[in-house]
Amino acid sequence: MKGYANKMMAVLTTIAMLVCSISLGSSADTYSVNTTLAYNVYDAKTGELIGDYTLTPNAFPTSNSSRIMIGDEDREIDYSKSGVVDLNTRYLQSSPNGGTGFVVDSHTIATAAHCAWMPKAGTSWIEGPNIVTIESLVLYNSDGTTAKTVTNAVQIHIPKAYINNFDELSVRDNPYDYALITVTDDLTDFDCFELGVMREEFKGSEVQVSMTGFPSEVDELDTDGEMYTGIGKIVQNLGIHDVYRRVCYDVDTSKGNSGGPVYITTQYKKKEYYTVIAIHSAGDEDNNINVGTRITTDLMHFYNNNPNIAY
Amino acid sequence: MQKFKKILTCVVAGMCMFIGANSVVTAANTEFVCGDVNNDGNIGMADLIALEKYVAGSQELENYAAADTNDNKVIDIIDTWILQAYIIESISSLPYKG
Repeated sequence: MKGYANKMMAVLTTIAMLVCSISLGSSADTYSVNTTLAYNVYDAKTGELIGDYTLTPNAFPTSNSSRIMIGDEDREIDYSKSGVVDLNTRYLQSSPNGGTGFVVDSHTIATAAHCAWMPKAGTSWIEGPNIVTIESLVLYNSDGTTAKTVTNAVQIHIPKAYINNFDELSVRDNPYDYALITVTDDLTDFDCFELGVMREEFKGSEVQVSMTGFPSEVDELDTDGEMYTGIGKIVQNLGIHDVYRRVCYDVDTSKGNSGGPVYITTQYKKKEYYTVIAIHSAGDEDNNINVGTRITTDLMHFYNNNPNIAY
Repeated sequence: MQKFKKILTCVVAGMCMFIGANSVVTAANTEFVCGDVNNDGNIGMADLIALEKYVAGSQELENYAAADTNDNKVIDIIDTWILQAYIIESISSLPYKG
């Protein structure tokens, strides 16, 4: 009797483990990350907090990142992407800083949160001002000459989750490192990057990804602020970084690339289209990879269907 | 002993039913018809609208794999163009590999 009971218990344990593994297996398919997120809105010229809002899921129905070069330097000057924006900011209206952004709508530029927000010492981070203000946003012609200098940035939107995690997590580990900047000028004449949500299967593919931006150095030499494009592929992050909200890749980057688009190129009807799958955050020197904020359903909602944008 | 057997049978039957239910969910997540974005068994305008709404950031997707109409592992606006081309019969099969 005792032996029989033990045998049955073993069978039951096996079945229970099987049930658990099946349940875990199905719950892993949540990469769309469709959650309620709150945002702060700052005046782009003064840094004052001017409002906040929450985006709820639709009911169904220059950064401080360090230089990371992986393998041989493979970046080249490339001004063919007219929607990539040279971001010139200031800390406390004085110290210049910078980064990269890209046009996602006629009046909206996407970038990384760490390029567009920094707390003021001694103030509440959530309720206090932003010390980053937008000096100018420069767009280029394909020959490298300046096409437009935008000086009328209006708003900066930052996820509150980024601010709340700012103390605990480094930029490379903060999964909410994304932001938007609105401008009065009409940017319809420039390439508008489409956003795309990467399926889990993409990680195992050998599809080439590119990143365009304004690195401060290339091949160990300072640049003159030119626009460069590097190529590489997605690499597994092995759980080092948030697997649903982060993407790791081996494209070379430097300080200044932050906020730039990580994108794939798709041919359709003999034309090339660029789809952004991540926004570059920072390098992870310990693991020799670069990390970006993955475009998820939340970001599609934030950039493509945000009723709180004003310009 | 008989009582124990009965309880055991009930527990095992319950677990089997649970496993069965999960298997269906798992199957629904992995087995799909490319283009049948809303999982209703047909490919038509309702799928196109669902996909367009997703790309515009105004609705979640039921089935990502089915929405990836060029099978490049990324859901974007090009998938909507391809689905539209399939619906109006300017391409004959999905996924479209160009």
